[in-house]
Amino acid sequence: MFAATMKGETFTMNRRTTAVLAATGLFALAACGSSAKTTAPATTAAGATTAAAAVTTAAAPATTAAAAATTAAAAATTAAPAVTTAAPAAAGSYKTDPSWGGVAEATAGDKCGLGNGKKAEGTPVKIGSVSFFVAFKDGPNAMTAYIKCVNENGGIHGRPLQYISLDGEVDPAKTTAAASKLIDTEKVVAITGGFSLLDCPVNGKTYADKGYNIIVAGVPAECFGSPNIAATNMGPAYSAQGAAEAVIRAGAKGKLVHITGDGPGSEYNGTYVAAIAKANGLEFEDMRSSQPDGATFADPVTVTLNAVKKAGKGGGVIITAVPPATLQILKAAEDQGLVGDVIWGSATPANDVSVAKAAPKSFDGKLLINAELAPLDSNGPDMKLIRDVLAKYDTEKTPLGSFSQMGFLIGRIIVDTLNKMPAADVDDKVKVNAAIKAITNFKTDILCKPWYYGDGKAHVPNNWDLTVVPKDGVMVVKEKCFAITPTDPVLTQVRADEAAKNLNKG
Amino acid sequence: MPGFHNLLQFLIPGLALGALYAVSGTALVVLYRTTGVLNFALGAIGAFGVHIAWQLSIGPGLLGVKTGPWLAYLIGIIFCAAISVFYGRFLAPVFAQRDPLTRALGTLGILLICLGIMTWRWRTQDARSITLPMKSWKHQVGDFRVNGTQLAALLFGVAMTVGVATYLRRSAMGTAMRAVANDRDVAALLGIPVRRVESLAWLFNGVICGVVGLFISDLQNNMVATGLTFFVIPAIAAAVVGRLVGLWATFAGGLAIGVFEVEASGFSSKLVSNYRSMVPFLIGIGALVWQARKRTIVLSGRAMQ
Repeated sequence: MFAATMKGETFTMNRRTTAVLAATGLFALAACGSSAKTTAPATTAAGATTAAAAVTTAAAPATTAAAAATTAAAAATTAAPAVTTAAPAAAGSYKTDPSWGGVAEATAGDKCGLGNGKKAEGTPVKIGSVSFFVAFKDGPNAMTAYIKCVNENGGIHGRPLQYISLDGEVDPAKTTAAASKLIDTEKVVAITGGFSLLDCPVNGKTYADKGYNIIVAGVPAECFGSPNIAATNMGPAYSAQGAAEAVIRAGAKGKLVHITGDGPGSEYNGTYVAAIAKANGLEFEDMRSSQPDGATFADPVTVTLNAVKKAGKGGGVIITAVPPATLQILKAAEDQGLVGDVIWGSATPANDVSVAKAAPKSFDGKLLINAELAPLDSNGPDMKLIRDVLAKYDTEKTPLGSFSQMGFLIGRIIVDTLNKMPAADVDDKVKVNAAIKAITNFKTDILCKPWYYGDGKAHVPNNWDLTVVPKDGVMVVKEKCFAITPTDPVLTQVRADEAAKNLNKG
Repeated sequence: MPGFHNLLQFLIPGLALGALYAVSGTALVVLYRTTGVLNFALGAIGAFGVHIAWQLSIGPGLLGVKTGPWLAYLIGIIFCAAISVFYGRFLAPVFAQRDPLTRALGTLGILLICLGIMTWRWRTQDARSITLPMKSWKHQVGDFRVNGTQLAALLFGVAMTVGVATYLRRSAMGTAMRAVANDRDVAALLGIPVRRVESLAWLFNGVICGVVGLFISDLQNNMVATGLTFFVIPAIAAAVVGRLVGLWATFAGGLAIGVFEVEASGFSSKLVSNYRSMVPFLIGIGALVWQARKRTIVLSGRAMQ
């Protein structure tokens, strides 16, 4: 009887042990794996409504009706692998770099801040931002490094600039709390340098209510369609569209397929690829695939097979994903012998040194990557300075890439703005944000065209791109600066504002 | 809905992935049977080994040393084994007399340490990959190309499961492992070198971590530490199918998870393909429910005390 009882007890404990371990293992780890994906609110995807104009394909330059108003030159032919742009980008009163068509000079000169070699002293001027460190830490890192350099060179009118960069993860609560800390606790005078999936949609209204005109490198639609937010990048949707335009110019026929992850707001990424496909009489399909860790595809081979199959021979496949996920697709395509079946394009994250080095050789010259910023080996004053700054002031070994370019550029803009204000005004939040709004035609060799803020209802100041391709382990220019075709009300309005207010001109 | 033709062409990649789940589950079961520890760090340790191998063979080298790929793979596997044995020899005994949940949670510490070092040392934003030499062999099956890594992974999974099952059943060390699993203290009184037996189980676990890490990284073209770390989830689900005891049931569970995951990806309907990550949970929970359908009595000396 005793033995039987003990057996019963034994049975219970084993069952319980197994159940506890199984449940703990499965659910605890599942929670870890999915926490980055489940808590974010849906972002409002800007609808692609207007069938603006078609990008002409094959060997003809892009001559869309809407684009023609603002793009005198640009556009590239696609037959030859080398740079084929007929003329450099249209210039205002600034020099252009003939190798890629972008701006070749810098408003802020070639030194950090005042460039006087004097260490900044006194009460710091506080600025801050909310970012998503796991994916975009390079941006805040580069901005931090630049500000260190600034503080070694006179700071802001002799006072140090303090940049408070907070991680909001992909968590609305943490993103909100980080913004509150910046505004209410730290009392920053400007919110600049954010790299986040959620900051614009979650905190945008708060920033507007509190009178901040923020500068970010944005991802969701709200970062480009708001009156008080301007970005140094153009975001995944316009960048993917730029890649799609390059793919169409390269001769893609039939159907465009867009591959991206299934994270918060990812439905926005392919919005304008759809619009440009429709404008060119092509079919379109958006493939948003599972990324359990928030960064890489769960089954890249199947994703790639399906995408190429759906695009069909001669179709186009555009990837919008971080570098590791992009590499997954490229390697799967090579492994499955699919490289030559379609024309490949990618949004700007793939314009990365690590992708150039790791991409299969079969993609040399064949992955048309939309680059929102200057080629990484270009030698304008800002590009030289960012290399020096990262080498001397960055403690996190941040490589030179799109995100570090964006962060550095935000630093350049805010430091230049603050130093141009009267010294007595840099602690006045209202005056600082008015000065930010007043920025017009900030020249930098990191962009195709000068950058501006202005009083528009929406902001896409970076709306000219170039196309690069991986070749022999580096990225080389395939198409010089060209204007992204307006396919939506936001960019159409932005182009109209630029023409009316002489923005983006120099 | 994919046709039969599509289902068939995804069978081999599904089996290859499943075989890796299966052999990982087998490693978890052997370790659990021997030491009572469910090793949550299996994927993280494997990921660490892959990064070491990449650093030595493709990256800039380690401590100024660069090697050829095979030596790099070997060093990566040895590194995994070393971490595993170190934990098993020096840290796991601290928790040996604690309840199974505490023993399992101890391995979460190793997981977090490995993950922390990897994300600090190798930026997760960078594209990097490792390609095993056997991947160059390819054979077309329908629209799909089967490669050498998939076949090697499948063969490795089958061979390891058969080998381990045979070893546990026929060898003296296998008998000792089962004795330790049944009652650690009684086994020690009988003269069984408990520490050595447990160390062997941890060594086996570490080696499997290293080999599976290399295979899975190549199969999925994925070297992101977090992605590889969560590989332990389907392995645990496979082990749950075998009730953390049965090797063959674990093997079958692993294969089933791999095949269903890959086949789900092939569905054009997002309702199916986007939820492929649920497969291990569905199969694991389904197995628990199935196992609970009738009460069976299992003897365990430990629990009778």
